[in-house]
Amino acid sequence: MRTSRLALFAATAALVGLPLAAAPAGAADGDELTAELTQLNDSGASGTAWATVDGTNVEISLETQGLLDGAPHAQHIHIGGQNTCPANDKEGNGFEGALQTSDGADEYGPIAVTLTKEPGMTGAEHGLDVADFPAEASYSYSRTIEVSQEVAQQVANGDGVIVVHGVDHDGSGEYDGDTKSDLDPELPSEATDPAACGELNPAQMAMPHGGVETGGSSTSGVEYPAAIGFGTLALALGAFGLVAARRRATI
Amino acid sequence: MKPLRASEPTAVRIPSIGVESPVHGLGLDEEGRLQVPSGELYDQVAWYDGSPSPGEAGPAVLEGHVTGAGYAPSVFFELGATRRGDLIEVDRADGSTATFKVTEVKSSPKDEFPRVDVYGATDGPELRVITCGGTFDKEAGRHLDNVIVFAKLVTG
Ligand SMILES: [Cu+2]
Repeated sequence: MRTSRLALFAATAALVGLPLAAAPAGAADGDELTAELTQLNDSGASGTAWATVDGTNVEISLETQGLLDGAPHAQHIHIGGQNTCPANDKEGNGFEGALQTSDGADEYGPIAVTLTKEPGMTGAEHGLDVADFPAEASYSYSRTIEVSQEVAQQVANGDGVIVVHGVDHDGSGEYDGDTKSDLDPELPSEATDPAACGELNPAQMAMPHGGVETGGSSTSGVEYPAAIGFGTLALALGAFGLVAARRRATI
Repeated sequence: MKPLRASEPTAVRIPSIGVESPVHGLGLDEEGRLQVPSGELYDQVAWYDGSPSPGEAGPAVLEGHVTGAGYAPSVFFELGATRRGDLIEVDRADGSTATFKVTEVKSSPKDEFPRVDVYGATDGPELRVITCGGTFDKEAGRHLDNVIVFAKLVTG
């Protein structure tokens, strides 16, 4: 069991040792990345993640739902493998074929950044600092983390995969069972099995902030009286007015 | 669906709710919020010109008002009646039409706007159509919710 944990960390070291190959077109500094988190192990968990890279600072936020309540959820940015998520129905070496963390390493690689709460440590070697993780069924997490230049570059390129861990396979309401974790034999496998996964990809736009004020009187200011006149006219003309306007616009 | 080349939208039709409108481009204000149609174009649909053009990879963003003065219906008065499977056709400047199929219709409080779901990265070409809805807060002078239609490209 120890060996798979060691293998994961060895893979991290190997990755860091690699020269920075010509990266595919990714996000530039300050661009946003997003991930849609979907369940692994039929956990019922889901969520979203958002990140932006500024130099060697990665600002990241997570919103999750459907996790086991009252139990810590280890969460990381994984980098490596194919930088993807395994399918929800992928089976592994865990409880009744459950996917353990190392069973998904071909897809998402080893831990690169540990997403602990302040002031927890964020290096890969702190991947199981269980006291520092969120422990609710649904939570909002946000933190800015200093990482190496390589990791910053990889995250900006869209190579990061968010993995949230902790699955109550037997529905007992807590992490238990005879299967030991592939990451730490002191822990039940339920505590570290992956529950949700999402690939951090560069957003295809500068994402607007806040809701959209497309209501009626929510448009205030100088233009409003003009809108009243036009609105009445448009109503009177009905579809004809719109068609006419459309012709003008497309010529 | 294979993404289309970039080409700005010129008109949009949602036959199931009888919507037909020209489309103009709008950007963000200083606070990074999406600007909304105003003046002569108040009752027309706008495209967020920082988003992909409809048919390109990523979520193209269209928006329009639900009502105008005195609750008069505006272009997206019926948007909340859109259903999964409905078609949305977007004419583009290059003469092509990108057709999207509705996958989901969501209503969300503005102060919990699902920013990542709406504007976040997508694998293929998608469309987001946004208007206001829900309770009208008279004191604040605004609708409390946004109605968001999610759609995916089916033909282009
Ligand atoms: Cu992990």
